[in-house]
Amino acid sequence: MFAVRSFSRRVSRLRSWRLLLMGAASLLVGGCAELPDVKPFAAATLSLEKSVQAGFEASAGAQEQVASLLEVPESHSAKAALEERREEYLALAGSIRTEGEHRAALMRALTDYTDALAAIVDASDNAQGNVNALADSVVGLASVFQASPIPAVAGGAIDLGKLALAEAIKMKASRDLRKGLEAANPVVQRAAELLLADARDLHKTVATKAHAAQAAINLAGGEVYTRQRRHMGRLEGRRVALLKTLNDLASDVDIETHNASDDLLKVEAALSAARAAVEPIERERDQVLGGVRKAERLFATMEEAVAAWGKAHADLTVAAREGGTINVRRLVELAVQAKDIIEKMEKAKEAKNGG
Amino acid sequence: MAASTLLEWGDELDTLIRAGLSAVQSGDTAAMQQAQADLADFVNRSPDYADALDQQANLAILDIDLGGTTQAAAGLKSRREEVARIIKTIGGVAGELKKGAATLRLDRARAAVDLATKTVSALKEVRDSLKNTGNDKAVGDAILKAISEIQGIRSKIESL
Repeated sequence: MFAVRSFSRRVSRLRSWRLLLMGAASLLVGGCAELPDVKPFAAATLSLEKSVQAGFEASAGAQEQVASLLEVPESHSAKAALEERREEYLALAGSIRTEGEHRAALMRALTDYTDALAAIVDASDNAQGNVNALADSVVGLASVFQASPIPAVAGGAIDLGKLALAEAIKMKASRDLRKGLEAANPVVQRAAELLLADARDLHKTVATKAHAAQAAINLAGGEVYTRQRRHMGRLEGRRVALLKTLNDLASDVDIETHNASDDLLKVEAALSAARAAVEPIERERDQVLGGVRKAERLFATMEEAVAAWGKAHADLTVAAREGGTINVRRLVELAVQAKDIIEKMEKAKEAKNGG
Repeated sequence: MAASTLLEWGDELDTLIRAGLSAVQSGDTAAMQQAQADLADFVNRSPDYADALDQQANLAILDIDLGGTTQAAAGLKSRREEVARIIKTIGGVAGELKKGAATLRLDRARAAVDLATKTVSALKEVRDSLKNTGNDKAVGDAILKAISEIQGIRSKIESL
């Protein structure tokens, strides 16, 4: 209970509360603006965090895959040259991972910022509950002093106070959110520019990997492999020429057609044998190429995620600056609530005076 | 005219490697890819007796990739310091927002009232256990004074 020393003092306070209500009425008009929804920005931040992490990892992984293609036995004729380049690829993978860790720290800071924005909105959404909890704590304190129960008139004043305080909290939340977003927006937009530049650089780290992967297996496979591939190229050319010959001869069954068909069968058999010989080596190259294609898709996704994220924050800042949308329904509800409280307080005052 | 001697193949390779070097220096990814493609074509076309040249062509393809990747990695590293500054700035904004949110949740006001309630209860328990004579009375009076002061704080909270 609120310890009030005399009834006259209570009435005096009641007058104060009525004055407060007049102030609260103007406060309510300003306080009924709805806070912008921070969820789309929070979702965009989460999506960006995953995308950035995956992008750096894919780039570092691509360097390591090419490095693994360059692993050759000590007896390999180009061992020294391949080892030198293998180490360079591994060093690049390490450097890219280090930068990835710095960007991960950036994303953690941005996630923390997003959580802080959500905390402001949450405090606004739960303003009435928090005010009620504070009022309960004050009542608990009063009961320790063994004061008398709260009179109805004071109870009305408390209700009105709760209403005004909750709306004041919402107003302050709106201002805090706007100030926070406006302070952060230039920094967030700059972070978006940097991350976009990162996505483009990450793309460059794999853009020349397809030929590099083929060159790596050419070198690791040595002369035997290179000659086999060259042989395959010649067989492929012969196959195409034979197919053309057969096509030109159309359906005439003569000795020439018969010979061309025989030759084609031989070429096909030789090609199959050559393919079987190089297949295990080229499977490794295909794995690298698969990784590169996946990485390229990730970088494209990262660019989209960065653009969406920057826009989400800019939109949020504009919404907060414009004060959000005025909630007319809430404004009417508050006016009715305030009117009820005033009537109850007037009745309580009359009853006390009459008694 | 197509190369027919090892020397001619060597000259062609030299031209291709120079083009690759120039592409890397320009930082033009498309030019680097084209230079690699030309070198790969060289490897496919060259005769078996030019295996040593093939090895140089393949190494040049790798070097173009390493050159382009090194430039990109340097680009990533060049933004590190600015990223660190952004982390600091955004951390400051987040800290202010969190402080504001705690105020809006009335955390401190509730904690102060709850603490006052607990303190008064504890003081009253001590006072009730004291006798009304001598030192005990003096301590009891001091406790009453402390309770009265907390009462003053409570009144201020009420009038907020």
